[in-house]
Amino acid sequence: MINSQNSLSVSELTLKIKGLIEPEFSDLWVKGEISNFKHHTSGHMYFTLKDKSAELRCVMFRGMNRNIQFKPENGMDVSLQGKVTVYEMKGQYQLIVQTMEPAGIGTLYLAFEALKKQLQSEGLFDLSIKKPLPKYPGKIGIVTSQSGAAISDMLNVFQRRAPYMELMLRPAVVQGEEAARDIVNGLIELDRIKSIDIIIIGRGGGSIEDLWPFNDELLARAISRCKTPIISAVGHETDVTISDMVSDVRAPTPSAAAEIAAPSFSELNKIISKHLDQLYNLIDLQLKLQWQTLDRLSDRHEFQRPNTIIERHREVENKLGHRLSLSLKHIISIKKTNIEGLVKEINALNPIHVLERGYSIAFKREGQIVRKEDDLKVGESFVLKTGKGEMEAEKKQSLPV
Amino acid sequence: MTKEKLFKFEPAMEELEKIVAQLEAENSSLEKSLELYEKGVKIAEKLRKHLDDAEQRIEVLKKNKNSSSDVEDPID
Repeated sequence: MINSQNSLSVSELTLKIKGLIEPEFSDLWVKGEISNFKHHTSGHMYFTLKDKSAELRCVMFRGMNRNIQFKPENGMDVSLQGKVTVYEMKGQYQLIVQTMEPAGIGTLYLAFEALKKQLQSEGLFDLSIKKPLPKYPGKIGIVTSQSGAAISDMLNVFQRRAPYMELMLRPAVVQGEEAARDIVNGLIELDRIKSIDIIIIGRGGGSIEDLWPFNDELLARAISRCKTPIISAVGHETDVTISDMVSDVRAPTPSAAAEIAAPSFSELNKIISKHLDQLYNLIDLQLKLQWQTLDRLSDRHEFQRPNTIIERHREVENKLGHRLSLSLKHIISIKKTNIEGLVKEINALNPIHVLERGYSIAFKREGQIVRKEDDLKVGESFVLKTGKGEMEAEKKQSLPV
Repeated sequence: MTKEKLFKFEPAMEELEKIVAQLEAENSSLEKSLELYEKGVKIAEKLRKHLDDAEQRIEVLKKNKNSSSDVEDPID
């Protein structure tokens, strides 16, 4: 018989279960493979940890999963640290994850942390030693796989944004045992080429093992020794490698690296236009200043307008012409009067007229006018010229003065 | 390589910036300023032409154990 008075409510049972489970599993490590991974927009991560025969619901809240150094993915083996809780509403238990570490590469992971600490203490990540990227690179060197997604992504960006850019690709193996050494060699080769202004090293997304060559110590040191500024672009936004930390610039993706390295065609055109405008405005200003100086000197603003000058000249010319002809007429008329007067004067001075008034002139035989008494000797004959007719005469004697 | 390809963008851009700065300094004679202006305009034209004319050029370095830098044919 069912004793309804002894029955527990669902809540009561769930609470009992919760009371049994939670104190027992308040801090534990569990390992398994991630599946049904979902990084919710809220920032929380929901997934299932599974092995061959069991599954465990897991949730890792935003505040905790910020510290994960890799990107959790389905199929990844991980070790989780946390506590088991019972979610009464759904009658489910789940693991609240506090720490996630990649189980498969646990030793690598520890090596990563150790190397990071070491390089940091040597100052290789210091912002003060980062080289600035040139504003207008002429040539960009790239070390990556010739067949990978990274190079085709980058070429897309370059062709769209900066078709003028010269590129040099140094193909390299980007995953596996050989990769780190090959990337280092490529980097050194490109660093030696003087015409290369920026070097991009990187690869597309992949598993944490795929990206591992970019956590290599030799590569980190090679990057720090390069004279050319380096952009590191490894995997996706969430993948952070040692190479990213030691490079001069870290790009979240290879496409982003291409965008960072190459100023776009339209940006450059804008800059050139701006400079042209500046040149024009500056020369225009200087010309205006020169005009002002001229104006001040000459105190004639008409100099700014050559047309006015010509018009003014013409006007003056016309006026002058008019005045000139007037003056000439005037002068001529004055002269005419003068000449008439002169003629009268001359006439008045004409000795003939004087003679007409009753005077005579005495001429010696040789033709000279007799001006003094002793010009003539006693007995010398001379000619006396009157207003009407001449006669011969003779000096008889000198008279007392 | 044609002469056109030898044109270096960055030095030319830097020279243009220098010319603008020189003109801004306002202590050149008008003759000198006009000279700078003409030079600047010429460089700007060259820069534009470089941007307009250039097609993406991609060289591929041969992988070489001796780290030599021989250049293969472009992949494009």
